[in-house]
Amino acid sequence: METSISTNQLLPTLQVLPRADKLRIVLFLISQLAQEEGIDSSSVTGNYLDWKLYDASSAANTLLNMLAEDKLNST
Amino acid sequence: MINAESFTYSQVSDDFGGLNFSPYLPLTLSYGNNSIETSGLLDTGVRYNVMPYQIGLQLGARWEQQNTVVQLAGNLANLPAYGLLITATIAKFPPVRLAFAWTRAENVPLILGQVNFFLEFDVCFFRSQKTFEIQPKKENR
Repeated sequence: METSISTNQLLPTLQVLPRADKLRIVLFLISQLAQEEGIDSSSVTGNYLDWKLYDASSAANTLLNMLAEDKLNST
Repeated sequence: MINAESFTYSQVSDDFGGLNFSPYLPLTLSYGNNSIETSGLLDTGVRYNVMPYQIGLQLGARWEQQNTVVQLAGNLANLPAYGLLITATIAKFPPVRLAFAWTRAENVPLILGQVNFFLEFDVCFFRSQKTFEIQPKKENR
């Protein structure tokens, strides 16, 4: 397949990308490969691999404390 | 659910050019004297509500005046976030206070998560029919 940019040119560029962008590219490639195989890409990458917020109990506790203080102040 | 409001899934395009149906809930957010109409993605897997930077600004919140730091996880972890209390109105239901992690990130949707959206509302998803129903929590169970 003819491409305007070679893999050798591409790799150094990818190497200096921020981590989040690298992850985004990995997800993009997985999605492309899945599509080529006729697989639903969301079943491969997961809808929320991008922002894993599942184990963030300290943030949740901070917000709960804010709500509790707000409730106290409004009564 | 009795007295529930029904909504349809929204068709959204993903980063890869595909189309998905997602449960976006229309709602009005109020902060001080400002209100905006927007929609939030219902996500039972996320521990807390997340507000992208731009929506906080539209509501008139001042980033530099916030003082409750919230430490986020995942790829939002490297960006600062503050707790922000907002009044939200959904359909015909009485307004509720929602606590958001207001992130400096702009490339995330408004996310309605466990704390405290799903503590305030009961939701039934009917994905096969592309609809969901919502009603305020029952106080006395």
